[in-house]
Amino acid sequence: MKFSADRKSLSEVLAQVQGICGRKTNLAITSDVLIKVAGSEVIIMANDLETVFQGQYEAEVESDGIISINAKKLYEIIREYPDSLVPLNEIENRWVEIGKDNIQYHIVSSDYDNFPETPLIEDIPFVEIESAALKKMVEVSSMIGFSSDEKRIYVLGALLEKVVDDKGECLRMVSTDSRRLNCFDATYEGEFIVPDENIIIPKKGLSELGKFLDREGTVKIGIKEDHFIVQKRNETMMIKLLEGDYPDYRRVINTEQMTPVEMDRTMLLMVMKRISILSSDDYKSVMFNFKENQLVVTITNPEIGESKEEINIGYGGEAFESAFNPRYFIDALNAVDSSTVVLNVKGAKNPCIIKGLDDEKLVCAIMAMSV
Amino acid sequence: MILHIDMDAFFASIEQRDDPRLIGKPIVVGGHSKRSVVSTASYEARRFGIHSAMPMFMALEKCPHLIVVQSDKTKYAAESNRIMAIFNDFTPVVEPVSIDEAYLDVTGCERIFGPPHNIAMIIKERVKKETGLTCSIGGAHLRFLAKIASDVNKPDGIFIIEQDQIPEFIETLEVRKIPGVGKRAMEQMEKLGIHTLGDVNRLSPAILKHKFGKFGTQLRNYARGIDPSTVGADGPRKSISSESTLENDTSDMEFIKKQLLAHAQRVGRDLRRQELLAANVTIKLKFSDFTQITRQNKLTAPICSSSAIYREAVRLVEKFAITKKIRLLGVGVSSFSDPGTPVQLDIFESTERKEEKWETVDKAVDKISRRFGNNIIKKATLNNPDKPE
Repeated sequence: MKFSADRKSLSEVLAQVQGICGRKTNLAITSDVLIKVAGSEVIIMANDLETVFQGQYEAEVESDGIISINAKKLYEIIREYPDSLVPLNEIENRWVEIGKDNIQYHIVSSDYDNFPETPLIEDIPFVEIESAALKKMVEVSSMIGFSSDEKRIYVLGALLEKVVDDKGECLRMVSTDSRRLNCFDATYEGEFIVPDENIIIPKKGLSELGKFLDREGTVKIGIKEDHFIVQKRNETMMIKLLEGDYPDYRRVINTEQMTPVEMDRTMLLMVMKRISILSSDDYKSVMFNFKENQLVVTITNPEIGESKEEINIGYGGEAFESAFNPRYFIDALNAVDSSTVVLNVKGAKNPCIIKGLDDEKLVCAIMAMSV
Repeated sequence: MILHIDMDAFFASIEQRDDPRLIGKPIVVGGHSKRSVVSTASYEARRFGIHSAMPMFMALEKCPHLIVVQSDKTKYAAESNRIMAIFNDFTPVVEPVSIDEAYLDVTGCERIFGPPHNIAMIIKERVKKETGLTCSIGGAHLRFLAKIASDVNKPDGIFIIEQDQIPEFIETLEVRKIPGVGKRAMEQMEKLGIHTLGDVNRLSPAILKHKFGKFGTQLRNYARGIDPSTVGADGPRKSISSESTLENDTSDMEFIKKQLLAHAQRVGRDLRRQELLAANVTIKLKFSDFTQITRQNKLTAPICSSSAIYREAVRLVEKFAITKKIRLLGVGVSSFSDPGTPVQLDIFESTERKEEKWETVDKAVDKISRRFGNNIIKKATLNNPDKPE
């Protein structure tokens, strides 16, 4: 195997797969990238047994071949390489020579036969979706993380659904950690065929997908057996789905019995940022006191002190007091695209559902704290 | 000045106090079963060579007319609380190390109660008057010496090492008396010709470190009269647990569950008495081959009801595929939180904490138990003589 590739584009691809290759798995070889050279093309693959990346690139190929080489070291070498063209050459016995003349690396590669198999992507009914919309969907979902000892499937992964209502069809992603829940809708072109089982995409894979997606153009998405597949022109990402139940999220985001309160997004965001200055690990709850046409938010931290802010709002419902984690409000308000937000509330110990006034795509539900 | 107070033959003395027929007789406190060990021997029994942790059958061989008294942990714990409360009248810095032993830092108390020897005398008198029990008190400016001192005039004695007596005391102190020097360390010491703590000073720090590791450095510090450890007042408890060795090794899941239930109830009662919630449940299993495992589960919502603790414990035991017979089992809880601090609610659950109903039941049971005794009301499944209460 011998080829030369553009340093900048090769470096970008390798940067992109560092997340996949950096993850610990039972197989040491998952920290490698597989490089397959045939004709005038180089195929680069990364696979952590859950998320698979595959990309095809043009290169000046002298001879065909396959190598499996440590992704981190290869990336570092290529990133720092001074010329615009990097030559890679398998000399013998899996020794790979990188560079030429006065800069030369000799790197040991692994037996590529051990590299995990890539799922076949044939005959998949793809639908087309705007890359920016999918990126936002993925970012909003990965915003809600999980702890390292988490075992609940519905917290480890996000739900993907096809929603059919009077406005037509759309794609929906729901993400939760059982304290808050985000739900994002996006439209698509084509006929989306979904399996009978829940589509639960691991959040680990989603964070890789977020890096993979551009802010422009369109991508194709599809489901093949147990994989969620996203395809760009020359690059593909495949994420192995999780199997499990998903709780009834529709009940959570149902605002029928709730009172809507409109507020300026930036103003509320600033209030939340200021009020959370006094929050700490032990005292992270902020009291929301809804009164007639007024919202009073207070925080009391016995270790530091207290603060209070009053906001005039259009609220005519029953007065009540409820506690929330302000961090969740900051995250939600940052994600909403509208300048005015609607908070749907219903007494203490109930969630607060946040939506944009003229943007129904994103729904953020934040569960109260008990005091 | 640090005082170390050690109750004299604590459990046995309580039993002798409560049953005058036992006074002056060799008695031991422990279980009656064939696997029991002696938890405390009265001084009369000690004359036969009987000591704590000795298997009961062996104790009976040494002294056939030995009286074995069934231990009553609840009674001893209550007595211990009374005694610790007395200590607290003298200084706020009381560190209980076990049920019958505590360190007190009485620095600065001299102006109220007089010199350390006086303080020790007043404490002894009060303990004697209020509980009828005797204790031994050691005092020194170094914590490790206070402990050694309490043993010097045991039982019912006081021994105070003044600052200027420390060098001499260290010079002649037998190393085997130092806490932490066990049988194996003793063998090494003999080989190196160390008999007293003073001898340790004559060895190079390198040899000490090489032979005894970290403990070597500590020994050297002791020998030079350095012990930076202070008396820590009782900090907040980090965990609550209950465990017991079974009468017979078993793999009978029904029986195991009953044991877990009994432990869960004890742990739950303790938890609720301290008005805490726990977010972590632990189980401990020791098998017939003496290997042991612990498993824990972190909960999303903190609990305090016995039923919830039991449910989590059973889940943990069932998840661990048991292949060997179980010899000992225990249940514990940790990661405490104050029920007053706000708790993040679960978005998919109903608005109340799920366990609240059982907590109400448990709290009612706790009240009844406090008034009428622990066995007056219990789960019907526990109504058999195998309970570890």
